[in-house]
Amino acid sequence: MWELQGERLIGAAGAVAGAQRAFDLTLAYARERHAFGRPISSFQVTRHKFAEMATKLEAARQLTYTTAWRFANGEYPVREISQAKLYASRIACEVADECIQIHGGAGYMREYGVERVWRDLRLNRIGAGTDEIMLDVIGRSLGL
Amino acid sequence: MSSGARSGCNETPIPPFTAAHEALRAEVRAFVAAELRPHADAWETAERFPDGVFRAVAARGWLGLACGEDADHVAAAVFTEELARCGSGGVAAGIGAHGGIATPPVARFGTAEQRARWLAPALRGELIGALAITEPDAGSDVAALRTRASEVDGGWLVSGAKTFITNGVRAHFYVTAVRTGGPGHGGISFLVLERGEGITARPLRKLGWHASDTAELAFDEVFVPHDHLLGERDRGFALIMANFQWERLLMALGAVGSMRAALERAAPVLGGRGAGQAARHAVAAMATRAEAGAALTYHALRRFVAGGDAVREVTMAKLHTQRACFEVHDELLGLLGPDRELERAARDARLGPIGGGTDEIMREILGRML
Repeated sequence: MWELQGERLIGAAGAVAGAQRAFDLTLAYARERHAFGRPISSFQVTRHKFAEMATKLEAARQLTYTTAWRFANGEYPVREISQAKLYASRIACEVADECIQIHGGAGYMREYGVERVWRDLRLNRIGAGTDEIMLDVIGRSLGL
Repeated sequence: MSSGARSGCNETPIPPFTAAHEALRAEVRAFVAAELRPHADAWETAERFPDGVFRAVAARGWLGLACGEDADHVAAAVFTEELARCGSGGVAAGIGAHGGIATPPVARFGTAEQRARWLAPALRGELIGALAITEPDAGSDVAALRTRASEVDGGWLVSGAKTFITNGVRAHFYVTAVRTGGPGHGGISFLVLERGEGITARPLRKLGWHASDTAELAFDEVFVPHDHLLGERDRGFALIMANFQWERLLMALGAVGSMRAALERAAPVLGGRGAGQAARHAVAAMATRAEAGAALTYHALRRFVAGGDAVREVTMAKLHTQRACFEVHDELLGLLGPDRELERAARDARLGPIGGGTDEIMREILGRML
């Protein structure tokens, strides 16, 4: 069980990193890509999508770091590890999905790279304990 | 749960469907199960499906359901919904692009000669068509397209590029949006380009739709005779807009068929008393979302066939069903665990919120008109 907790924490960190990569690729694309005579990054809806993604990423990253710090200092915070794994994996998929959407048709094509991030990140919600298992663990840790 | 997983074969047909449409539905469903679905895995792996599939569908009269004087858009809708059960989004896309979006403009705007030359053989499945509008620098912003048709003696010379063109490599003819006039939506015309000199096609690899032949096209001074002009010169934008409504409706119908098929498989496993409560509730929510999408889509279909302005309803149906179809498959994948068909269907469905106008474009259209 102890090893599983480490794996889940690493899974959370990997999810944040993968999603951050998709975010960075997409931010560069949105600044460069023009539609209706302006960069698509200048549309309010696009700007809000990035703001939303950046907030999710930061929350997942800080939850992961804080939990990792406690784990590294000898604690065994199963609930927070499960929460970090659940949350980071979920928001990573949401971020990657939004990145595909911002790319439009290009996002669906292999050559732009975001579709691979999207496919790869989906495993994080299955491997090392599915979302449903994380929810069960968190629920039990609350005495339910 | 049985109502949520209903097959869609209504015993008492609800308008716009008639008893004849429900009989057609049963026929198409049997054909798809016997002739297409068994090959889905192989065609996905090969990243192509045989041209003979077009002929097999044509032989049953199903390619031209939305074309001509006796067009029956409701029948075409039934066909599209059932085709979604073939197990490969790419196969459905290839057939749909040919019969649903490439040939209808020829039927509607073509002269008798043009219909004889391209439409008749296309409806027999002997010629395969593609609709070429999107360009590398003009996706959602259709009016920005740059493929240039310069007038020369006897016709035009066409140069430019198109991308994400379904059936793009194997098509015998391309119903192509070109710029014949000034910038913006006022200078666009449609020309039918036949495969040949000056046209090169590169297949594109994708997240899903693997069996679909999706291509990037390059036109290098392709000579196109004057009589290949479809409809009026510089009035092509109207043709694009007319076609979009039908294309979006077809996409909504495909999503309705796909969600129903997935929920039929999943409901007995996840919806029964033996399953967990969370899964049971998730399936209930998904079935409700799918059913709402079906009702909205059929409403849009009724408005469309009645001949009125159905932009609002079609746009809403497209917006609702495309995201729903992906999320239903994605969620079922999580609940049911590894499943090849669901995994493929989820990847295939992810195109929905992008193709035929993104969700963002749908919201823009609706936000401006409400």
